[in-house]
Amino acid sequence: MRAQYIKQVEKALHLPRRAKKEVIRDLNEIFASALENGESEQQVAARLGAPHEFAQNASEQLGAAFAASEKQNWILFGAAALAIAAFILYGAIRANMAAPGIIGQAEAMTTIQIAGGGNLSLIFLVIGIAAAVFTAVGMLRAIHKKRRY
Amino acid sequence: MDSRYVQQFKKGALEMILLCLIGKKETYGYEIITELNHHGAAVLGYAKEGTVYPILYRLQKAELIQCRIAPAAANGKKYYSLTAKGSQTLKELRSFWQKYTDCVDQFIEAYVPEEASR
Repeated sequence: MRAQYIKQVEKALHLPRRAKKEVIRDLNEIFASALENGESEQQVAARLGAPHEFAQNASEQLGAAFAASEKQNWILFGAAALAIAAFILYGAIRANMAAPGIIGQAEAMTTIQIAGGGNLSLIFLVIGIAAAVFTAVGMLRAIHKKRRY
Repeated sequence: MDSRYVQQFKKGALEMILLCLIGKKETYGYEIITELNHHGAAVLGYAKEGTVYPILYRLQKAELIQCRIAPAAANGKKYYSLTAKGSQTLKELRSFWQKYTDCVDQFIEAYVPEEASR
């Protein structure tokens, strides 16, 4: 009865693993406490109501916060990765550009390549800076929000 | 008497009641339910875990309460206590509740059914 009830709740919980584990832990305590006080598993299950309803109520309270912060984390993570990738590309293009420059004796072909590389590297530099600024602002806001609570 | 209006009242008050119970002493789920049923069942109806736990999750998320899990050797239960923010919020809620009930009472006391005033 108890195992079945908890299993059904677990199936209906749409939450990250950590939150799910907490709800399951609490359910185990609910059953254990009630049994200690002379209630039967049937009585507890009846009082708890339908497993999917219990799961839904718990998910509503725990879910919103988890989902929002998790999504935000992924966006920030993505922006940080983009910034790093853009800077690496920028560096690589600049390094490639410098090589023919050092050798010197600019041929027509190389100048075109340098000009093209310059434009491209500039684009990556701008993307990199934009992504870095976005990440920094997002992180500051997240820290600020955490402090407010 | 379990109309929509009455349920709204109960719902609003339950969070504050839980803060009071948790603020009085560190307590755990079953004790909260027992305490609620002991003192409030007649008016509030029987408390159920399905109602109380979601509110506990909400209060915890808002950082008004915190919990610790007692060692398994003790009883392994999750004990709730108020955070500093929770105490502050409860203080504000209590003072608001006083003003609120005074204000509502004033309207109720001033109300005389039309039939009677004639």
